[in-house]
Amino acid sequence: MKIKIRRTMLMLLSVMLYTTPVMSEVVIIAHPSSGASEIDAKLSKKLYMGKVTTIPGMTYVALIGQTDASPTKAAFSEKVVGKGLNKYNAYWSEMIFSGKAIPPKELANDAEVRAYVASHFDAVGYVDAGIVDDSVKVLFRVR
Amino acid sequence: MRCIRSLVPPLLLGCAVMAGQATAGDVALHGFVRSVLDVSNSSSPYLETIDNKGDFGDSFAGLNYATRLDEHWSVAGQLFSKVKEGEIELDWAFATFQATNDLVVRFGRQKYPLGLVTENIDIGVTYPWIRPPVEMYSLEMGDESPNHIVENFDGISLAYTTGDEWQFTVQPLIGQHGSSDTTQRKMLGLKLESRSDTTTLQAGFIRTDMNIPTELSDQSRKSFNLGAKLEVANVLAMVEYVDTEVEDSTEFDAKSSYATLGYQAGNFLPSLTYATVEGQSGALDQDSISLALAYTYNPSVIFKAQWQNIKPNDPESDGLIEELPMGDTSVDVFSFSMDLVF
Repeated sequence: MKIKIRRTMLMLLSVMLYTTPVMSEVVIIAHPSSGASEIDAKLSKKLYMGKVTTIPGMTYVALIGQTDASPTKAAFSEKVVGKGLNKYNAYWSEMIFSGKAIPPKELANDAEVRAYVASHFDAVGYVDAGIVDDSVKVLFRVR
Repeated sequence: MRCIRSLVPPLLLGCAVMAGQATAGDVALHGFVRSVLDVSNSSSPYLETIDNKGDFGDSFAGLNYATRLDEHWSVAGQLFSKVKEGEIELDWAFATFQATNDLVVRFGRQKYPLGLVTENIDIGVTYPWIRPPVEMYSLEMGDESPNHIVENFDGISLAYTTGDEWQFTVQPLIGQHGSSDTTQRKMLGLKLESRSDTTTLQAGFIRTDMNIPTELSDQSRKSFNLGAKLEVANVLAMVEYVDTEVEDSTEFDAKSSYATLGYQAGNFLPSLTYATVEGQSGALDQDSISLALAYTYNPSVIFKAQWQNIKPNDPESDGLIEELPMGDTSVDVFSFSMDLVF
């Protein structure tokens, strides 16, 4: 009986490990030819809260985000902005509907963001670190 | 008032700019919808339309666009339509000049800035109630409601922000407000705000020359407000106070305040609110207690249910109830809403 329970638990655990996305790191990326240099956690947070519109080396930033269905957005809002997804969205609703800031353009997933940033000189986006390649450069990394 | 006709020039400007310079990625279109059912236990209307027959009149929708023109300039605007008013109106439309990351200047029609939720008063996903306490946030002007808030103003505002963990913003403004029955000219104001991840503190002062046909002509109106919002762990606390005085006309003077305490339990946010308004004339004086429950269905949709007990606190007053039935001391209002943003 005990062995059966252990086997069942091990199977459940393995299924959970297999199906749960592992969010290793989230990174903020830019076009490799942009003048942007590395930014710190405070500036990353301000950028994605609409409190700054430029970063060192880029006088115009086309900010890219991801849709609510993307697990990377949930991880990003927790790790970089310090808010859960609901509160992060509520914050942006305040900004949008008072006209105080223009929100990030939302793409569906990491691959779309990487492709967009790789083809737009002024774009800055966030993706899971696992998808980064030579087509983009990393400005900020958080585990 | 916020008539569609006045929207045409800024909208055309925005469309021309969008078509000419900006890429599709630079244009942001968003919107909001509120559907609300209010029903009271009285045949005498509360807030003009809420009675025991049920009322959807406070439902509304809005559409918002914004676009960046270059590294310094952007334009944005918002259309708004309320069921009981039945027309599309211009909520606001302005151009923003971002001089630096710390300094912003806005030109055009902007949301009235005094008060913690004035600038997002129609966006239900940003607060715990079905509607912000009307004792303070009533948008009607004149002797049938508190005289604190207007929807918007036409003019110029400047916002200078500094700080990291705590951000301090100084926002002076100059402008005017006009509606079908009230104008406020020579508006001068100052808003001071301090924000951290968990706390918002606000103080503000605005003076205008207030005009109401046949009642007031260029009377100085002064409004002073204080507010604090705290979100620590799962606890939400909000408190605000506003004091408005109109020169030579005590009929329009009023002091309002409210306090809200809520607790975020997963996707549920129950909250308790006490609100009060006292005027020099006594005609509007009322207290209310509200118990609200908000349920976040997903990051864009919130359902809410609310019970509110409204009690005129002056023997001569009906508060914001049209006429309190003989023998009754209070009215109960039950409300159910869905707020959606996209």
